[in-house]
Amino acid sequence: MSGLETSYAMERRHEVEKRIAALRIFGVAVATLLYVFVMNRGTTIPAIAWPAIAVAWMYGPVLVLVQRSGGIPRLAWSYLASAMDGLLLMAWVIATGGVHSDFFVLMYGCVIAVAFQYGPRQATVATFLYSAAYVAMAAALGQLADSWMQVSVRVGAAFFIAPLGGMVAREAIEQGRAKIEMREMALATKAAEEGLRKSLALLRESEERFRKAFQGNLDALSVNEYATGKYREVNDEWLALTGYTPEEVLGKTPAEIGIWADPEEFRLVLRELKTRGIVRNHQSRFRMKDGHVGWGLFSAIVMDFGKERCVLSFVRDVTDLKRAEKEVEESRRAVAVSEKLSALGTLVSGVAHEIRTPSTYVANNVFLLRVRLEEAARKHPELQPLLQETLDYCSGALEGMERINRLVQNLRRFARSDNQGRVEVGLHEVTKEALELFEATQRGRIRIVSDLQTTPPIALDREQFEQVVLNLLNNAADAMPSGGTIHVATRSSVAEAEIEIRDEGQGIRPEIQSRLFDPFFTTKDEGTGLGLSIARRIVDAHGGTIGYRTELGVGTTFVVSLPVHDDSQLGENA
Amino acid sequence: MRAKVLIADDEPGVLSSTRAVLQVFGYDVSTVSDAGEILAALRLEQPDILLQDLRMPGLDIAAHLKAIRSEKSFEHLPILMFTANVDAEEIWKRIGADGVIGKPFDPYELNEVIARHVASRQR
Repeated sequence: MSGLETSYAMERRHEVEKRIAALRIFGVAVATLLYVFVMNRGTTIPAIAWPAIAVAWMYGPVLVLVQRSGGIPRLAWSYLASAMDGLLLMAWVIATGGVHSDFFVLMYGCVIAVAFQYGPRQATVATFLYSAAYVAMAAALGQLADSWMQVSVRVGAAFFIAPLGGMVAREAIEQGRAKIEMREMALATKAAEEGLRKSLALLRESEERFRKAFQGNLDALSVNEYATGKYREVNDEWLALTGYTPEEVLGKTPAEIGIWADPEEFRLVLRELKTRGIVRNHQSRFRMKDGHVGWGLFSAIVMDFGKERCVLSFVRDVTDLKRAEKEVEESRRAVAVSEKLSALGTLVSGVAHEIRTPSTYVANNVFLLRVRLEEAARKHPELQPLLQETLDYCSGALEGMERINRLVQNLRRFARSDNQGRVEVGLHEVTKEALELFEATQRGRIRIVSDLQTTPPIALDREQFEQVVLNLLNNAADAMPSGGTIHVATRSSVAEAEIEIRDEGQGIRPEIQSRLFDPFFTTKDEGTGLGLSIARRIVDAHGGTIGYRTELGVGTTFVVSLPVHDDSQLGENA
Repeated sequence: MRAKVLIADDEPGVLSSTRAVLQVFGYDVSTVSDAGEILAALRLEQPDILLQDLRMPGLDIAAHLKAIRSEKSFEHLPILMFTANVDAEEIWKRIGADGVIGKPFDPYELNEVIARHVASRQR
């Protein structure tokens, strides 16, 4: 290996050096033991041998310790150590007899150690070096000539062992590398697993968040397949709003469950989605599971979830808002109507007042006419018949004036604003006044048959009740488009007073009966639809009731009933 | 002697026809149609009774009657409010008039009321 120190190599090297150190110690120990106890028969141990052995013993561990402390490049130390090994070996071999020394086996050990430490190539180099040194030593000691065979054998063995050792070393290295690789792979796998686990956790968390966002959203959300329209997901709000369970909806299309109250609207929305891919704030009507229809603000967007194309829709329930809107609209209309009525009232009031002036001098002039005619008749008796005739005409004219005046009076009262205050008046009077007003507008199309029995005075708002009776009379007239008779009656009992208005129209159809008193409900082309609702309101405010009997094809009778005061007051005002 | 009536009203039709009617009953009738000339007319004609239209252009009725009453000769002059306004029922008492005649009126009734007031004054 060259100067490139991978972590593997460094780790390996350290391992190896530990082993070499152990090997050195072992080798020295063996050598010592052999030398002292086995081989020392017949030869004297040179005195130098003992300190040498001591040094040898220490040398190995010292080398390791010094190498561990660092400071000097390790490779240099290693080469130095190996060189020291070689020198020590040679010295030992020389000291133990040179060629005849049996410690030559240590040479093989050194070579293998080198192979371990540096690799097969260096082992070969070391083999050469050691062999050369051995041969040189033998030559130097003069033993080569005699023992050249032994030397050759030993050198040959070295060359044989070196590659073997190299192979073993290579195996060991490979094993070491494999072991380290496996360890690193295991670490990498563990790291990858850990990473995967973390990703999964993040994914799950993200999924959880999306799920919560989807489910917990306060709008009704649904996800439908773009291609088929089938429901894939609906959130809790969607289910709560519509009343469906997931099983009833998932896998079906909106058309199948009939959730769009207006199929035309649905087609419109689909067209919009197909062309623009998005729909915003479309007010639509939706039919829920129980059949009731609510208003929703619908938005949707086409989305690709992975490979699948879907439609994500949002519906906000605006039923209450819509209702409130309607109520605002209704009250706005009611205000507009009452404003109109008020303006009309002012106008009528003005007209009514103004009419009195001309009616004054009409009356005056008719009077004068009569007086002059009477005078003339007195002077010219032949004018008597003429006078008689004209007297009738004058009464007729005066009667007409009286009617005009009464009409005007009623109109003024009628045109005054609501809640003028209550007065004690009998229903028969109020009815009579209303009839007069009514007859003025009829132009003879409707005949009135009245039976107005005197009723006890009741504290009521005169103008309001005139309005009630007038409304009922107008309704009765409208029920008979080609004319007819209206029967009007007032009567009383101990407890209550009644007005009854009967027409000979077609009656009230059952399907509209429940809505009859609803504001703005009308079957007429013109008309505000307020008449009956106002009438009911007025009657209710007086503690009375308003009801009807109807028979299809025969006619309708409306009855207004008011409670009468206690008997003491009845007696007083009768 | 015939009783004298002064009618103050801005409507010519009312003025002339009422005058004619009262003349039938034998009254001596003079008329004035401008609010500003009423006092002058009163002084000139010295009527036994005044028929005063409630609403005339430029007329503050309360102040007008007060002005009339403040003159010695008219302190007890019978003044009848002459008006189309049915709500005048309460007003005439407050402003110092002696009665009210509504428009339109019954000629015989008017005659009766005038005669009554004139008689009570002359007494």
